[in-house]
Amino acid sequence: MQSTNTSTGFPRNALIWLLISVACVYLPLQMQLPLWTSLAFVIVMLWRWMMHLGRWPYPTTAVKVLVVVLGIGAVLLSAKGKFHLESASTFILVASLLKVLEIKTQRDGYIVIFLSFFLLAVNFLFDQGILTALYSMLATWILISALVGLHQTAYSERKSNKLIADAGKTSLQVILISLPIMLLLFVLFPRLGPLWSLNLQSSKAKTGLSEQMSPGDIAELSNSDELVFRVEFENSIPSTDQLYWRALVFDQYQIKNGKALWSSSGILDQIDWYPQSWQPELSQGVFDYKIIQEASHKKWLFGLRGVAAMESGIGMTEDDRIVSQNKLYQRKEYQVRSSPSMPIAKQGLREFVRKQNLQLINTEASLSNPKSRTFAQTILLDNDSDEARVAAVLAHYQQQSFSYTLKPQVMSNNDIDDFLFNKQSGFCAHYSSSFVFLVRSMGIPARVVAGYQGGEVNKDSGHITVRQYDAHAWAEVWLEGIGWQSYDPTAQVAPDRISQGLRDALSDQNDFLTNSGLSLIKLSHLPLFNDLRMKLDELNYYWHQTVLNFNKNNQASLLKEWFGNNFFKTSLYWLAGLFSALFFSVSILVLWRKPAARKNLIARTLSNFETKLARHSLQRMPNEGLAVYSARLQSAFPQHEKSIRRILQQLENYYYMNQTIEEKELSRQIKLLANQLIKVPAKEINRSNDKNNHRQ
Amino acid sequence: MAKINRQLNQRFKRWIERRIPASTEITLSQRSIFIVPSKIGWMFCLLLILLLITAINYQNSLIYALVFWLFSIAMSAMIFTYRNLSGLTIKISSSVKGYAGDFIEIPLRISNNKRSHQGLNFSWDREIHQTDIFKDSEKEIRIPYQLGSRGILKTERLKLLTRYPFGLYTCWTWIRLNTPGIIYPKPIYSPFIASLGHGDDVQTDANLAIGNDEFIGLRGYQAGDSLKHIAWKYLAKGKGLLTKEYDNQQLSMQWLDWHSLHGKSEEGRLSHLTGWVLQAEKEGRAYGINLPNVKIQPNTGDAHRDQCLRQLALYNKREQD
Repeated sequence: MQSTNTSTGFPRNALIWLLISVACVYLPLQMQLPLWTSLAFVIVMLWRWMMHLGRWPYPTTAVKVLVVVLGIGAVLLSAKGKFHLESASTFILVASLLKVLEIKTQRDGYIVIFLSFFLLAVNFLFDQGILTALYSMLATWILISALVGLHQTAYSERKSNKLIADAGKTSLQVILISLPIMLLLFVLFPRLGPLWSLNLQSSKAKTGLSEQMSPGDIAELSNSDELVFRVEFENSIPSTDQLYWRALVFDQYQIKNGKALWSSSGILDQIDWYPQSWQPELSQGVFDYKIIQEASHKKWLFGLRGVAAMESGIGMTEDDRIVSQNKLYQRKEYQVRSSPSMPIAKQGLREFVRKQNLQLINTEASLSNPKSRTFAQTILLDNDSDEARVAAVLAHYQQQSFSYTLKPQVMSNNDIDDFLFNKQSGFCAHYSSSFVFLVRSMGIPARVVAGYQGGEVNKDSGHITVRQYDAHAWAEVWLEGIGWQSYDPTAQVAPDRISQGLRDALSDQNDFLTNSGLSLIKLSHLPLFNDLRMKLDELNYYWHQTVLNFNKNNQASLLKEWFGNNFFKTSLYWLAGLFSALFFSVSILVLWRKPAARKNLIARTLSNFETKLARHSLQRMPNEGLAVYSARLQSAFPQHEKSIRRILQQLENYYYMNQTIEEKELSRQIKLLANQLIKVPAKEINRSNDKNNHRQ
Repeated sequence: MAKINRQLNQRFKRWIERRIPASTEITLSQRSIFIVPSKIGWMFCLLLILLLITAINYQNSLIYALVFWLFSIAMSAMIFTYRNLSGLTIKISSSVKGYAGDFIEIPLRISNNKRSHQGLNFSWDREIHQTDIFKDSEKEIRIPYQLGSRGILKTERLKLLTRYPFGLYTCWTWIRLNTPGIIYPKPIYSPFIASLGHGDDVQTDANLAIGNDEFIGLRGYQAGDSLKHIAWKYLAKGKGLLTKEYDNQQLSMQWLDWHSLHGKSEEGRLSHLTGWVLQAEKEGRAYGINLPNVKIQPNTGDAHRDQCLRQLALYNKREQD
């Protein structure tokens, strides 16, 4: 198409829409990106707005270069040499901010809008909640409005607030009209697996359990109400005190940097993948359930005791856990079957396993925690069976004045001695680790298990929501003839923690969710708010179930349910046919297009001339005659007055009097003149430009 | 290749001539509107593909939804862009006249009955006029146009292009408007050459009678003054170029004669005659024109001038119309 003036003209109203768009897209991202981007954002917005009002000058090339260098430097510095999702989005954000700064033409506007759409999509990688989705709908409306504003008449007689309203109305119309097709495509468009696995991931450490546990670790999780996973039981739900979601098993006790640490030795990490792995028959006491786990960036999955992998890509370890083949960078839905009452390793432990589960700190061997060891020996001698000995240790927690707190004091070097006989106040990690220590000291194999306990049952939908503050650590002891047996010393101290959850266990303390700001969970003691919270949770659950989790399998089963077996294939043919027809008709129209009229030599040279002079802001105004332009140039370049007058006079004669001229010669002269004029230093041009230069 | 192009071009011209025939008023409809994706439309398509790949790789339902929404907006945009031209009525609002090669503005009247139309770009060739029109209104716009050679005005196709509202499509039409108008020859201002009196009807006495008139004074020379009236003596004395003025009604009765310009081309003669007509009218002299095929008796006034110019414009052109 012939290039038009409109491709360079830029309606003033469009800028307002564009600034709102960028702000709208930046707002949710701001939480994910480095703090300095906020500063950059505010500066750019202010600067551009002042330019719009005409108070501040446009940035000169030098300023632009400086700003670009600063921007790229800041991105590189904050990325610290690593390329992850945050640094990539910071880069796109900075690019769009820099573009905002120099928006002058329609093309700049397109770039800003397209980048904004991309950032909007990037934001979905960080957050996919209902609120984010609703907010993004609003943002889409604003972005489309900006696109409309960009195409409105540049010098309209209509009032600018009316034009702005027009743009908003038009975009609202198109957005609403497009919704049905969007839904149709969402349901019908075939879902593929990832095309390649090299995806940029967020650099932020996910909150959640880690592969190592030192006493006090899990207490930090109690500050977070972030969703970990949701569970839906096929039939009945086990009672809350049975809901021990196992994720990690720690059988190794060591001291690193003066701190006691529990971790996994890895001796039982041999994985049996589905379908080779063991599966229990579905019978009484066996539970089938579905877990929708949020992205954890880890491989481990969750399951109750006696767990079995039920789908491909999931395997079982020898210590009764399930793991995924790939790290969970996206939400994952999986089927699990558990038989909690099943005995595990009843027939005996292999020697190296036994040894590992009896191991206490090797380095200082018998030196650490002497009081605890002596205490364990007393219990060992007082009782005649292992079962009785473990029961006696448990009873000890109940008899003594132990208390449950989220803010345990720092323990001294012999941390278990200090906890058991001095402080006597701690969190589940303290109880489980001291318990395992005592049991191991008596020569009974024991290990710490970390995971989540309980969860909130939604009475309406029947699903269980497990959040970070449900994180828990307990213990398993191997007993002759019984196998691994779960024990929870925390339950001895704070039975409410197990039966009702952390929230109730700590209802008289203010430690719960100290960092999460305003949270509805804090208001859950008010019935009205609790109902509302439950409803929201249910809504979120369905949102996750139906929208976010809409994958290949869900799509196939949904279409099958609606239309029968073969519909999916037929619909694909229809879709493909429809689009090829559309494409075909469009291409016919394209082929019938009249070849664009080439500008003649003089016209091309003149437009080059104008672009060159635009550097001095001396381009020809729309509707400015050549004579007026000539006079303006003459006053701007007094030293070239004569040549400007002569050449522009010739041009005018050519255009308006049809005078025949030597086109090549005139075009050469125009080029020469342009080159001479741009050599003149900017400050000599005229007074108004002079002022601008001083201000920068 | 060039030949094929030319042939295609010819074919296209014939096709569009049939599809959108010339008229004085046209209401745009699907017959006259063309629409294709614009460059930005294809860029948008690229953006969607990029977003789709992101959605697939991250298995992110919300990005899928965004892609589908934007795609379906892009589809609906076709209708919106089309509607921005559809229903618009364009007509010539008054006749125009001007001299060959001049830049003039052709007034058009645009109106609509149903909806607003924004970001409309009218152009005849170089200059683009951007405008908009809102619901149930009518307005006059003036589109710059460069006149061609003398004769009845026959404008090229007017191009009306819009990318409003989303820029994803270019929607345009080429309409041929029958613009009532006339292009006068391009005037050349030159000294008047008296009629040499070819033919019986030409009254030559006006020129011959110069010597008998009463001399009333001198005035500054003006372009077009007869050489016979120049005060040569004063010029020789170095007092500048002056013209002798005579008080004689008959003197201002001039015949602007085609034949007095012998030796010049046909177009050249017409241009000189046009220049003379304009000068004579400006100076308030009565004048008549004498062309080989037509003659207009001396007179003055705008109507007379226009009649003379019209004859000059249409000289030897009648058969073409």
